[in-house]
Amino acid sequence: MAAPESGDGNNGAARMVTLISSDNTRFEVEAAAASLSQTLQLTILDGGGGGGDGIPLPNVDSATLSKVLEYCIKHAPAAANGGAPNATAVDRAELERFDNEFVNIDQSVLYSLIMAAHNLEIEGLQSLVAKKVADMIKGKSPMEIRRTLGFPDPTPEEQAEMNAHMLEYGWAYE
Amino acid sequence: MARDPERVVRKKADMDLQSMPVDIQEHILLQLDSPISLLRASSTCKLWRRLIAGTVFLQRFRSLHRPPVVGYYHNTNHLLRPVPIFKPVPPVTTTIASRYEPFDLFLPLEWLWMWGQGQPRKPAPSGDCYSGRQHAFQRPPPSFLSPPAGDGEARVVFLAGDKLNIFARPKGRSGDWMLEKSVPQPSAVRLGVPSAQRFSLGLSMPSSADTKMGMVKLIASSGQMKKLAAFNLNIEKKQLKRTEYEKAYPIRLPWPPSLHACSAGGEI
Repeated sequence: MAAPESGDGNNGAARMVTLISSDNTRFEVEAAAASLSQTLQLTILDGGGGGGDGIPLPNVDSATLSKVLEYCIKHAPAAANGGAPNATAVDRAELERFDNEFVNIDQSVLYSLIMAAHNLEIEGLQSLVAKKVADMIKGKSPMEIRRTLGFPDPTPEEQAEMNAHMLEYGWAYE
Repeated sequence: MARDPERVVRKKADMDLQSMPVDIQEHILLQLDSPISLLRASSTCKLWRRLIAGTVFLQRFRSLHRPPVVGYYHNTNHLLRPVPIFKPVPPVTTTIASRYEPFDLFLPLEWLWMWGQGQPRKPAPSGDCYSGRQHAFQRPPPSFLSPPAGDGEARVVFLAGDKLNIFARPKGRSGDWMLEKSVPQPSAVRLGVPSAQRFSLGLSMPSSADTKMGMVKLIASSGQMKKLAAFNLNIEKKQLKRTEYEKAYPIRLPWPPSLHACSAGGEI
């Protein structure tokens, strides 16, 4: 887990970058982990984010960013291997366990993660959170889906359209 | 640093899926695990309906979620005529059974276990479908027809004597199968089998390429086992068309017809 810290007192071999959340918390992480974000990757390749500069992320708050980085740090080694064939079954099982645990969170946190993953373009995380929402939807009726996902109540016209559509595909609801 | 005003506004907006960018919502819908879930989701709101009906979306969905192969038919040489053996794909036991609710199997697997030449019987306990055991049919197995677009109902076809009997389940009477029509078997001449030769006909599962509406696949075997030919028979027009004979017939879980029609262009 990346703890908020400032400065660059790291003497290790791995290059570190600093990310700054919307509420001005600084996160120092390995460049390799942050580079899982397509959005950040170019900046980092250009040498950005090092030293005292930091890369500001005005649309990600610190709670969400810390969660995002937890994901990136865990997944960075596997990504560095490029879907490596030498990844053992144990490693993969461990990542899967981590992923399942990772999305076991409140819906509001999940939604923040969805937006962050989208804005930062972190492919694996995008799929992971999308899958989680999809799992919340499956097996539910349209009204249940709306309630689960916090859609506003349908207007009378919407309700009529929903009813017509459900009638048309009645067999899907048997 | 320069703040992107649009992004700030977006962050302030109450977190709700409907106000998220369309590609996020599309991404979520792509992760749904079955066409049935997709169809249900499409009832939820107008935007989703529009997204799901998109040809490109359906093609992507299909490439992500191939219809699982339930198992294979093999024709075995059993005394006088080939006996089809259904061999479930091993992971069927674990994946299909756990991932799919019975209603997800648009054409129920249990139908595979209905046999006989009269009224299809209520199948044995459906647990059998998943047990992974081999099942030998005493008689030619039923073949499935995709439902005609009109009534959206599936048909079961049996080979009975010199006739093909087609059963349908009338709307509103779930469970009861009624004989809908009876079509004479194609003659040896029409099948191109030398009339001097004895031949026998069998029904087979349509392969994914020829599960068109109202089609049924016939296997004609004559003389030695080597001489096997397959035909697609259009029940409505009574047209016969020679097709490739496959030794084993994969059985995939078919798509609901409405989605299948939308995605016909993206056939795998």
